[in-house]
Amino acid sequence: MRSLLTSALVVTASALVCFVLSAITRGDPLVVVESIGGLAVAAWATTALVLVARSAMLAKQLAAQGSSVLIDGLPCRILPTHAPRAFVAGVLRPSVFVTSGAIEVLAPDELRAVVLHEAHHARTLAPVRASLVEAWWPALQRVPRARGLLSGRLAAIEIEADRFALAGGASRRHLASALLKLDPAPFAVGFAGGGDERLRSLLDDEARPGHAIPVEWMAGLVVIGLAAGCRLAGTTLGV
Amino acid sequence: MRSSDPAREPTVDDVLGPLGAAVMHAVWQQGDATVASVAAALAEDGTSTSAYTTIMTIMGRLHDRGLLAREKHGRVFVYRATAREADLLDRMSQDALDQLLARYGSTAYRQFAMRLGEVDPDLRRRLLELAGAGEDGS
Repeated sequence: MRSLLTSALVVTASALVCFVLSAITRGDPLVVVESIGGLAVAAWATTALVLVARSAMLAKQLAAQGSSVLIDGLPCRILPTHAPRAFVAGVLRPSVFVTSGAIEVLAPDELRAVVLHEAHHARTLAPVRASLVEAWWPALQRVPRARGLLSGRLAAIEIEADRFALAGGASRRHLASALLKLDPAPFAVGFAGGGDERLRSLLDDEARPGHAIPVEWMAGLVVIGLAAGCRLAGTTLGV
Repeated sequence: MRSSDPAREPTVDDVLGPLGAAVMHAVWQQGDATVASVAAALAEDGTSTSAYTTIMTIMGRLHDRGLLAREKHGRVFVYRATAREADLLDRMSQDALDQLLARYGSTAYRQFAMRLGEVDPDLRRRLLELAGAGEDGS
């Protein structure tokens, strides 16, 4: 009953949007496509902005609680809590956060591996990139192929960081044992995705390429490109 | 390995404020404590000259937060700390971090760890083997 109602609502809303768009564009199909593309980009950008703002706020609040240290020459902020965790948050200059609990449970080589992994995230603006990927989630989560692409891209971001740690002298064994020792935040559920892919990459000697398509940038560009293409076609062909 | 000083350990004052911390210290010292005994102890050592009702309010709040347990003995409540100082600090700072991370959601940060319970069991077994391997696992 509920799904029937949801379907009816979606159909009605779609019909309404089409009706409004047709009325505004006087039935011009290219302008309709442009408008839909514009709305999709606006929705994606708004969601992404909210996610990025959350990361900035979180980093600011955490920075007030932690103190700066260098671990193997890499800047980190230590949070005084025994929950063994390591993560990165922030926008333009993301910070690596390591809890004192993580420092207690990790051996020096494991800690170095974790910090190298997180330093790569900080260097490559992973919180922003991940937010841009995850901003597609509300719209595309019901499309299996898109869902796979998005979670695969998130896994690729983790795999890149693991490889950076390995290139920096960490071993697979230390990354593996650190994974077993550190706690994920208990509420980090749902769209974490791509866990199997990351583990396969870590476990296999042969490097497996992650998803090469940088969805976080490309998806928005494709939509903008489509809209630009429609405009160009309209101008040159007089459609 | 670590080239600068470790983080300063938080104190009870940091998380409970001076009066809350003073009350907790008095309860830890006394074991079983009443509002009157805590107020007297704080007045005696010059920590606080707060009114009886202020101490009662503070102890009520500490009870609400789960830091003090209480039992009614006749007409008065007898309070007891639910944890030692170190355990309490650990619990509170962990709760505070969890609340902060939960408030902003898992999309606001990238964490190293992953939920291993959700991955393929064979991969999990191989991960355990790799973690337990010798130096050749590099």
